[in-house]
Amino acid sequence: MNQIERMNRFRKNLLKGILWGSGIWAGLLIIWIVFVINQIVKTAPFVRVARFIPGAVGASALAVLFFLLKYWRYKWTLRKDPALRSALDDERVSLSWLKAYRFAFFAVVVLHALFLLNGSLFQLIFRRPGLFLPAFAEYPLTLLVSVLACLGSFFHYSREE
Amino acid sequence: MGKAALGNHLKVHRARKDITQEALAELVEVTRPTINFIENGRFVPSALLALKIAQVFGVPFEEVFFLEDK
Repeated sequence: MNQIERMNRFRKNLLKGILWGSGIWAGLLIIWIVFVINQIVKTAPFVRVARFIPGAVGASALAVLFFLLKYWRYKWTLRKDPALRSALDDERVSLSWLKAYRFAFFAVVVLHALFLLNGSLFQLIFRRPGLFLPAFAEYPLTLLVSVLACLGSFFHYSREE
Repeated sequence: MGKAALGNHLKVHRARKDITQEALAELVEVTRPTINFIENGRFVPSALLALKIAQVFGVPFEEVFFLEDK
């Protein structure tokens, strides 16, 4: 296996780590907001399990941070070798990233439309408040949805037959 | 002229020269999946990359790539 292929696989694994870490982080955060803060499910077993959710959110955030640091180190290593860098970021990879950014942009627009719908519009249409969404949760959700949409669609556009 | 796509004989030329996708990718300085995408018609390479590929096989551009009706 040559160096381009080896580094390409290494990058793929790092991005998968970031994708899975962000996915678990986002999933737990959503469960925490919907079920714990809004107390939609109040059964005793769930409440017992729910106590561990903030810890798990923190752990998944640390896992994402670990992969992000490794990704930054990988990018730093490539600075020394411009030929390898241009081979790894070839025209097909660049096009896949562009498509992924476009998809992530629309995902964030849809997410914010949902926030708007849940806020003022829900009240206006159904005459009752929507789901309580604390401000501190909106920012990480936006961040996570954009990362998930971007990396997920990048893998989708890069998958081989 | 109707809708056209870029067809290729990459697989044939690779077999003739006994070059793997990975080796070809290294010679033209791209990743292996990029060669796979071009071979399967899922990615249209730039003129520069297409010319580099033809140069590796030592044949004119039009022997590797051609226009085909969609």
